[in-house]
Amino acid sequence: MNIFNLIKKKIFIWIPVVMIVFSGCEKILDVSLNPGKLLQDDIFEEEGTADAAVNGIYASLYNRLVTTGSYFFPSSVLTLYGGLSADELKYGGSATNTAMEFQNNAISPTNSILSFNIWKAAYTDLYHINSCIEGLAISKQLSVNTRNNLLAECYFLRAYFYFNLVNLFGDMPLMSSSDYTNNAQVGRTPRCI
Amino acid sequence: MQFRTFCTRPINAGITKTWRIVKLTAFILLIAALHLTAGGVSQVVSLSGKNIPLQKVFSVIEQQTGFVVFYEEGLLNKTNPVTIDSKKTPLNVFLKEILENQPLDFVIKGETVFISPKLLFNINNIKNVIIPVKGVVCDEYGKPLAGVSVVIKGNKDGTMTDSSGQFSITVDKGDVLLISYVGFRERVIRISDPVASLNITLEKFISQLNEVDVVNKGYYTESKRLSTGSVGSVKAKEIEKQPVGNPLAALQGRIAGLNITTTNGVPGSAIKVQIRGTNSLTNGSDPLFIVDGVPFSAGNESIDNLAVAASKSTPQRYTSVSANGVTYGSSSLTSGVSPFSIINPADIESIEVLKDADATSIYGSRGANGVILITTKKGNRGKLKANGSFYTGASRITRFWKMMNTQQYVAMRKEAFANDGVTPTLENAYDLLVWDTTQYTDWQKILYGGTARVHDATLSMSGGSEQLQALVGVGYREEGNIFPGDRKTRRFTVNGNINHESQNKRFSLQLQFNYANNKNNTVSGFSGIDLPPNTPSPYDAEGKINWGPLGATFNNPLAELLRSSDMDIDNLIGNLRLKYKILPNLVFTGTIGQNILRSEDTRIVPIASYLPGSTTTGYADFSNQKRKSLSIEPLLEYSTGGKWGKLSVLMGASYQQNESHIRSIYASGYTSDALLNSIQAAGASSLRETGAEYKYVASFGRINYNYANKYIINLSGRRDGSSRFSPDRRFNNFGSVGLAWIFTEESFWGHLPHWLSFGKLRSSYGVTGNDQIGDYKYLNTWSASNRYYDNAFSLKPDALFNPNYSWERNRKTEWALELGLFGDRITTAVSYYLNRSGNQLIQYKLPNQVGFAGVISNFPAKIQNSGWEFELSGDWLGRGDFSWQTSFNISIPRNKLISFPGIAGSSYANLFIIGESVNLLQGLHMIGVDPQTGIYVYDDKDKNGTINGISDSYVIGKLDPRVLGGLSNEFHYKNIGFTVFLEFKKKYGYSHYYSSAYAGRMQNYPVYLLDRWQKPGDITRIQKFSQGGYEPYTMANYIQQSDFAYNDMSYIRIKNIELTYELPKTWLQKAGIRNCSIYVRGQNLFTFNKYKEVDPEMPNNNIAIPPLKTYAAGIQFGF
Repeated sequence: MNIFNLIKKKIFIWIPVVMIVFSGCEKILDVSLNPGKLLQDDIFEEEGTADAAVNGIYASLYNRLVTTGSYFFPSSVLTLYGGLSADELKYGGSATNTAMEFQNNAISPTNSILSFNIWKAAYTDLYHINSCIEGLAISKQLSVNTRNNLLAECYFLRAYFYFNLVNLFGDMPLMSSSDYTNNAQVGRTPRCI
Repeated sequence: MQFRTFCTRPINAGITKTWRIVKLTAFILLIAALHLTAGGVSQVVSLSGKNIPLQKVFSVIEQQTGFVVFYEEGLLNKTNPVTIDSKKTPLNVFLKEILENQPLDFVIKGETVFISPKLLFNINNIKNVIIPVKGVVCDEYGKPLAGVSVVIKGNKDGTMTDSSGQFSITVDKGDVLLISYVGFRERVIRISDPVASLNITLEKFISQLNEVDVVNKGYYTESKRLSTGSVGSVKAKEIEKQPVGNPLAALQGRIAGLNITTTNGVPGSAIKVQIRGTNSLTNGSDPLFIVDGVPFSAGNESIDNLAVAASKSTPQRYTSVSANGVTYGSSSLTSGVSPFSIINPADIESIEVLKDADATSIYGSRGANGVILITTKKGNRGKLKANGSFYTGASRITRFWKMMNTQQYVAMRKEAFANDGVTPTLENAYDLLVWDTTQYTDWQKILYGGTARVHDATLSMSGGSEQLQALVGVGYREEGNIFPGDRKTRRFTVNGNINHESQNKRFSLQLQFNYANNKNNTVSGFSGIDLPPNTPSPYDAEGKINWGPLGATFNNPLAELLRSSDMDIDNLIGNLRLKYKILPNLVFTGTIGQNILRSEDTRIVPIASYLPGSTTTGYADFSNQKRKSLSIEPLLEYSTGGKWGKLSVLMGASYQQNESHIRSIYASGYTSDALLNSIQAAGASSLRETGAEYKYVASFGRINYNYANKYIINLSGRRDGSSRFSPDRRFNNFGSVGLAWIFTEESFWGHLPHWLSFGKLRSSYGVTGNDQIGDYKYLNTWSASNRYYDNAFSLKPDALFNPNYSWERNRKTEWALELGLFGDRITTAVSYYLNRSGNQLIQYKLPNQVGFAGVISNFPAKIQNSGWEFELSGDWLGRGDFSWQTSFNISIPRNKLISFPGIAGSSYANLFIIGESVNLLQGLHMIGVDPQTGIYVYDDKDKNGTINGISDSYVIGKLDPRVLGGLSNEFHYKNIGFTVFLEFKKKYGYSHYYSSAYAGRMQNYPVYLLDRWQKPGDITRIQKFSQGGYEPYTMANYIQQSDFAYNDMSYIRIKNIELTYELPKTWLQKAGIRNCSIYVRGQNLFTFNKYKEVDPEMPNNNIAIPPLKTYAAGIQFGF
């Protein structure tokens, strides 16, 4: 007959009820993605998006030149700076321009074309290619034909990239996955493996 | 919910302690007062026996009478067994007999017997010398006060004055009498000799520490006196005095530890708020904003999506982190339209600022940067009352640049050409050769010289019965701007509130809504106060915009008048609160609230607004925005008490869902201005879309234990989960402990010194989190790109993803001393805080070979914010017709990066220095003007022959305010009131040289640049004039990166003045008016700082406009 005990009992019934209803359930936190975003796990399960993902590699190669007006790895860099190095082309701009170093074949390690237009552009696309390969490899819904088709394009592009990089720099860090924790540690990989 | 006890004023302690033992809730106490009504009970009891325990006696009663005996557990411990022999004794007689020698009392109500402790009066306490004391207690005007408590200190004895203010009591020699009455200052009188009659006068005061003064901590309230946490508050009274449109502007300088920065003087501009410093290296440091219990959907983010005048930027050091790395430097930070500009300050009852761990850790992962609670007005009991207020005012810019006139300008240009050895030609000097060199246009006056008219009207009605109260209010504000043209910002607000309480007071309901519509029809701002003063006149003879003669044209800024930037914003906050008393001390509260903000922006730029011939098409930009926030919060509160103290327990849960969606259409290629409003007529269009969804759940609790109003411990905590983190890292725990010791309640002091009425030491420690890092960042997402290849859309990866990041944690510690002096007429608080935020979420730098420059990751870098805050408020004179109240606050914050492992190799190496503020400013050091060449010279720190922004940089200073605060004085004499509020800030910042530090090109300059180098050997501060020479131009361009552009920008500002006259009641009564006062107000009236050239809050007013100076006059009335 004690009123206090009665209250205490009631309150302790409430605690777990409240806890379970409002924070125990993780589903309550599921949110929809913002418009225009897709998860990598979903992209490669549908033909349209898988195709668009691989298409994105070409779009990147093509649009860098179109939108920035400067030259990036692989094709335009190989044509322009390769041409300057080989004396096929002659640079008519300012003597202090970084392009001049290619013409004179005296390229300093701090030349921004090396780091920005070639190195960074190449590895940004290689991440994209590697992500596509990984996504396609574990895809369950794509037809075998489509999957192999896209995979082949990616394998070719990756090979094409490394072929040109090795020609430009010699031994290069070889990234065969998109795992950045591992990739950050990779040093130069010998050419013949 | 507040836990107010029946009598917690310490002065009543003598009586109340005894009473508090009873502590069986208000219900039982009430019945105890009806003791005698038990007389008529007809039940009888028969019982005989020796040494029967009371427990057994009670069970016999229950058996024989069917009545239930109620008592508190443990109450019978000190009772003696009874020996009794009774036959058919009536129950009440029986109870009287058995309880006669026990410390117990009883009352019979219905079929229940309540047993309670006896109210003991210490009659056995007889000492040697007894003095009978008689007296009368009056107020300051000699009116007798009834019901005044007269208590012997340290003793339980006491009495009260009767209706004629008289009392009599017997005391021992040397005893101290405490005479106290709510709302009056306590008196202490020592009785050493017999006195015939004491005449005691009590002084009235308004106490800061009064019982009714509650601290709102969001989920619960507590009395300010017993509070363990640090909460600052600004009430409606102070907000209403200021003729501002944004409630956040009314907080500036009012609360210790709160730094308010106005980003622009244009109506609606964003106002940045920071509580106790910057806690995050690269993420948000905004507090959590809650309006009437609903998290404000926009936070303090700007809500404009297109160019509007308010989004004109102000230079700030910024850090931006993207997938491509960290960019930093001194550049523009756009300010934008403040979401709070749509809240009517007149609707606000109070704004609370929660600062320390004790107050904020119940907000868990959102509380790291403090919490700001905005509470709107509620309906009152009583007959229907109407309150209205109307004011009209005018705003102008605080300070104008002193610009060169035409003579000075022409001479400057000629000297510049001579210095450079360049001959003026029609191409480079048409201002000298084509334009009339005697023509003068004050562009600054044309563009910024206007007067912005403001009209503000509010009307509210409130009233109700004991059960039902309601309030409705409407408000309208119209604000012009200082620009040419007559574009206006209009705000219309409606708010309403209904409270209902059931007859038995167990169930109550509160419905609240605030709706606002804001039409912000401004322009995107004017640039051009630096046009040459001899430009052809702004309008030609036909009244059309004049672009100048062919070949010597200029960009006429008045063309902006042909463009438009309109925002139409709707905001609705609705909130329903249900309260149910399950038991007298167990209350359930359920709150559901929603905030919806929608806006529609339109920007129209016609061909006619461009220099003729420069474009053949116009464009239009349309944008729609929707932001929603839904919040559901059930809450249980339980309180109990006894001899062992008072205990309050609160438990609750919270669910929140936010979504935002913005869609914009940029329509361009209009070849005709007539069709600009139509999207179909566009030659081309591009679309943008962004949006996010955020969900949040939490359970939280609070346990407060108070022993004898002396020792208080407050534990609070929260477990919360947020969709901003990956499923493995979602949930986390936060908590705090707050302690308070009201040392003036201790008996070991003997009696307190006369001047000390209240003293409290408090401390708190706890952990809170910061989740302001944006949504979805833990996911491996790809975006649809606008890059097409082969006419097909493409996808690209967004960034490296890290599913393992988590909250930034902020550990807050605070110690404070609060004192009440001279009967709480003066209250002060000194606090010291030490907050350390770690687990910093930063862009962790990676080599480019991984594909991106870095990945977002938690890092053990630690930022320390520490500081002192001092507050004082005093009620100096409360006598007669004159009163004077002061409140003052000052804070001295310090920000320091205390650790950052591996900073040297990170992308932050050039941005932060360990041991220094995170708002550190690094840059070049200017040596001065070379006396030989007349060009600025900077220190080449690394001696490599070139000036380089990183390797030549020094620590210039820090942008944190060093000292900030405010001082308010309020005077009243009869019907006249006068308030003056001063705000001050000691800070280092952008000076006027940031905008303008050299002259010579084809634009106008401030006159201070006339103090320039002219010939070899001149020692000057300003570089020679140059019309665009390579070296002078390059060197002058470094100024914004150098210490020359920064200076001591400390200021003291008379922020607000109000003079009111209350019309005499005798006049008003005839007209049926309850009260009426007329007032004049001013905002930002006078400013004292070192540099007279510019406004210290916005030293670069050719980019953004400083807060305006406003005068207003108005009337306030009530029916």
